[in-house]
Amino acid sequence: MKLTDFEVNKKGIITEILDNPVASKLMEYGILPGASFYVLNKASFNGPIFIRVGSNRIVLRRTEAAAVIVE
Amino acid sequence: MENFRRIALVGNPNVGKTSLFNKLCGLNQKTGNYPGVTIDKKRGQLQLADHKIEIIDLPGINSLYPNSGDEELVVNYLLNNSSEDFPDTIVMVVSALNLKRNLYLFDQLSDLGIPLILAINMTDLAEKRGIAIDAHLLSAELGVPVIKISARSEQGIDKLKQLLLPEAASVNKTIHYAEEDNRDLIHQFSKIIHCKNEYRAFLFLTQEFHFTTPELRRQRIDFINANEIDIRKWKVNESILRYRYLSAIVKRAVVIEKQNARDFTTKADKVLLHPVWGYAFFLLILFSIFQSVFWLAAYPMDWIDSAFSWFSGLVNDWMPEGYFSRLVTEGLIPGIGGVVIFVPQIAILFLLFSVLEESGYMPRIVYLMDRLMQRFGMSGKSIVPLISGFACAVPAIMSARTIENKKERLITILVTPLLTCSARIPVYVVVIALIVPDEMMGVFNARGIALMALYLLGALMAMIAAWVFHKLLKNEFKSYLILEMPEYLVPGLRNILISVWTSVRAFLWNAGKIIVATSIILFVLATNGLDDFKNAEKQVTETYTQLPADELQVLIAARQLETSFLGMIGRSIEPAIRPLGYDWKIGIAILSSLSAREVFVGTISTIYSIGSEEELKITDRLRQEKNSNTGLPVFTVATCVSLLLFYAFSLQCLSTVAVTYKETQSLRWTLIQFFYMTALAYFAALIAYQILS
Ligand SMILES: Nc1nc2c(ncn2[C@@H]2O[C@H](COP(=O)(O)OP(=O)(O)OP(=O)(O)O)[C@@H](O)[C@H]2O)c(=O)[nH]1
Ligand SMILES: [Mg+2]
Repeated sequence: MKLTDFEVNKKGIITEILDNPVASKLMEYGILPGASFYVLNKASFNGPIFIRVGSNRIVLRRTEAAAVIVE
Repeated sequence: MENFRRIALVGNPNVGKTSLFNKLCGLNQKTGNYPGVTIDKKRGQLQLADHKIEIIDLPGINSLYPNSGDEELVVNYLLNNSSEDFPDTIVMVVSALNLKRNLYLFDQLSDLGIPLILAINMTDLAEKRGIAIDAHLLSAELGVPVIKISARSEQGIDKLKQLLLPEAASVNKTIHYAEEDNRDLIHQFSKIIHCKNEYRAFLFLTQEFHFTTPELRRQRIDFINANEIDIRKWKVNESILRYRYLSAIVKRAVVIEKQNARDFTTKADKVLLHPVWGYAFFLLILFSIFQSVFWLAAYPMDWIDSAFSWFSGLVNDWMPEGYFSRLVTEGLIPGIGGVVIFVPQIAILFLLFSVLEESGYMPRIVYLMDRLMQRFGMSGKSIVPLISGFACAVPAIMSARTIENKKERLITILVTPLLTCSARIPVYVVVIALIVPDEMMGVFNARGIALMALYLLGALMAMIAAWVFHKLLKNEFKSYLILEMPEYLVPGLRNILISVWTSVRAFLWNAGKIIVATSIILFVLATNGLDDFKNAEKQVTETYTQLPADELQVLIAARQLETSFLGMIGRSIEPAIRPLGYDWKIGIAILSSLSAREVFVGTISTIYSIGSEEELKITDRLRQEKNSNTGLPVFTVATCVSLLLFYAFSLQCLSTVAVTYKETQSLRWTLIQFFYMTALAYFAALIAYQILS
């Protein structure tokens, strides 16, 4: 499942980052396969997604989040 | 020069580098609880025993792969090891709250072979959160000195200073950031480009820098093609391998006792980022800030205004009659007073803004507004410059450096000066007081509402302009947003006071020096003239023989002013501004405020006090002013509205023009910005006056 489809206030695990221009950027922020995360918030009007990975709070746009495969 | 050392502070954004820098060097650089506060290299000095130590504060970086101008500056600095300016040692600052993520950059830096000291900041907060960090273990594992500090409570700072003196050793690690098969390739490439350090070679292989020479560029391309290297994959692998390495260390070195106990940030975000309440709250915050600027400042302003007219009276009585005495009481004192009375408003505005910046709320606005800003060709990150534009456009335009995408950044720079900066407040307040009665509308003051409307107007126009540029400009690159959200922090009182003090001082100093100069020039120009001026007194006395002496005096003064050099200049520009509803005195005031808006108030209060015996408050004086030809008040509603619109849109600020040029490196865009705003101002004022009069 894509991170964009993941529900708010749920925990999950990142399984894969699809190949895309910002893949390495995402990984620098600790968004890596195997990391567990928690969706804190999704902005309305298709705005960004706010997640927590470890002790890290990160915001990313849906276009980037679509490349993050989770379960 | 033996006892000289240069030390650079490097680290992720928002970990407290500048706070530490301020503590080490006793300086007052700007801090704030959001990524991207520092956008330039700053230097400070520290004397330790017989050592002179230069400390360099840098913008935060996420990794050695820069994406924005401020990050590029740091990475260029760190890779340019032949430069004069290269540090002897790096103090790598990390946050105890986010150790693993921050050690990622540490790991990259340590591969560069520069001597390192690891400073773990925010330990005061970590203790409260039940995060225990084993500094000895980290030091042994990472091979560098590790020290726990708090830039706020000053814990560990003295110990850190002691660590700065001895020569720190660089770490020698085997390559652990590339898969085994690729290590040989890295080795080969470092031989080709004659680079001793293999990680440097790796960085030169995986990305192209501004300063990459054509030769290196060719070598790089050839090498990539010859070995069929997938750069993207290499970078991804680097992240995975480094995190794997670090996870193992952090797991042993960090113990978290009560995880997420009393997690205030998560709870607060539930409300502050709520799809409905979040936006309501944002608007409420802005509304309260602008309202407070108006009503909290009202009392101190009145005191200052009265104090100045009292003071001017006093000086008048003390000083002997004469030209110099008039220069002081009719030129300097009103000019300076016209600006000083706005200190309370400036102070309150900056106080509230620095609370906003220190709290950690700024990036939340970025989050809430990102989608909307994209429609206007900007990024959520544009919010930071735009909001600081309410204080001053100059630092605001500089802070646009953190926006990665070129087009989004350019649009942000172009529209930021439309937002109501603090220099417009004096003009607005004086003019609003002339046309809006000091009455309550419900719970709000009518003048406060008018000021609010002008803030809204500026913001609206900025969005319209952005939208137009968005439609006109092409986007070369796809934009993205990945942003780290800080925890909410209780603002440090010291930081806030520093921010208020530096802003007020800058306001007084910048406006002050121009105003002192202009009021002297204005006064001299207004009290000298050709034959007409010299004959003014005789002429008036002969024409109006019946008038009592005091009324005659007023007429003479008016006549003299009109025939003075200043009057001559004013009259020559009058045709251009008459359609906007201004007389020549307003024209002079606008002309003198071309370099800085707030000068308008100083000039207008100087011009209108020249030749006047009474000591009045500015607004009372302006209200009394009559047009000498028609006998009607000069400041009618139409004229005032037209003035307000003119100041809302025009770019009367030399510093903004200069900073736009510096940041865009483009004369074309600097001129476009100046002319679109000037045209907007002129025509908005023209249309408003023609409709209203
Ligand atoms: N409680 C606490 N807060 C701190 C400490 N150090 C810094 N802060 C706060 O953390 C925030 C960020 O500090 P800065 O010094 O601006 O961080 P920076 O690393 O220079 O940030 P950038 O310039 O954006 O990269 C500010 O709000 C500081 O007040 C600390 O030791 N304890
Ligand atoms: Mg800083």
